Amino acid sequence: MKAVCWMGVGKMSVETVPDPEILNRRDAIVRITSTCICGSDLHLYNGFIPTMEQGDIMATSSWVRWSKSALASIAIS
Amino acid sequence: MEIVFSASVNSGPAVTTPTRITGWEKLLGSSPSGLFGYTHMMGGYAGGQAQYARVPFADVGPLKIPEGIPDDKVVFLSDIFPTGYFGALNADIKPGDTVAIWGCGPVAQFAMRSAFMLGAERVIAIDRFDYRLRLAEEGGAETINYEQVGDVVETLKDMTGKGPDSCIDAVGMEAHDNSVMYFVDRAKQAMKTETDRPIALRQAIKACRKGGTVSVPGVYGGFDDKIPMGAFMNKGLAMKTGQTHMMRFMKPLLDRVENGDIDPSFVISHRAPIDQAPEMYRIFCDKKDNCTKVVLDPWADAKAA
Repeated sequence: MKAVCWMGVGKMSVETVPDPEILNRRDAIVRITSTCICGSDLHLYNGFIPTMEQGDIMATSSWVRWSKSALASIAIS
Repeated sequence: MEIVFSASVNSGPAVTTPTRITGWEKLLGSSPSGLFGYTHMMGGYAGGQAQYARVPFADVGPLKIPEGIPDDKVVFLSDIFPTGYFGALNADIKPGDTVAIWGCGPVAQFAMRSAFMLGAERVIAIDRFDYRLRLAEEGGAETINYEQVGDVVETLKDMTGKGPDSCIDAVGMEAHDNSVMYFVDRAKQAMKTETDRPIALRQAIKACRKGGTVSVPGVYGGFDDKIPMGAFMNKGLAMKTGQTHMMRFMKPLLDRVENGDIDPSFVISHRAPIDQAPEMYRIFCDKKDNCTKVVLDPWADAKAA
């Protein structure tokens, strides 16, 4: 999938990364239909907050539409 | 997508990086909750600027949206609308109050409109970008361009008499102004002796009337100098702050959207496919092209194909 990745201070890049997977019983995989750039993202973009690593996928704000398979996985678990 | 993390992750995230979080527990006193896409200090969870995402505790966090409501009206329920509303709520606004808000960015725009929803009679918004001040005026606010007045605190006293009843710092640690203290803060940041620039916070404390409330939705990261604690204490101010508990506000604010009390899409200034994200970050960061809020479409290229 495509994702916006933090590659360093002042450096964002759209990369092709592995699709997310279910790791825990209460996880869901969701398909994102709209996402935003937030002021909080700029704290990372400008290097104010430590512990980012190259390749980390950005964004604290976005919206999703549930995929039916994700709902089913939660119901079963 | 703080919608999932407002409470559930505090009960024990399944994925974490204990060493880093343990290190920051010593610094901050206790481990903060996890956040999507916001450092390994906050759990290292992949963020939502992508086509798919893993949502932990998905049975608890997400809010179901009724059919027929477009993304533009609900996308900000996951963060900035509740954050602005929480900022206004923390200001302890009583009917008829005067509220001053530092910053006219997206969170501040929602805080202003929320302040009116909560009963404020006057909202005074402070910034330096004319297009953002105009957007504030469209929401009913009076405005101060701090680059055109000599002293924001004195200007607020001239406008209100005793000072605003509540002051909201919606700027946070990356504040800017033309004062000596701005350059002192910048110098300290360069020398790593201060992490933040609390210019708006200092002004909010000084401007607030005696017995008033200072609300801080603006984000701070570390250590801040020259906070006027003498003024804070001797004027008997209250201060409330914190990362927003999104789950507490999402449904009530969705109700307001459905009732027509507010259309959150007013804040959108730019739309782009996800491939243009790097350029959009620059435009958003530098406030170019009258940029207020950028919405990205993760599937735009696929649709075009």
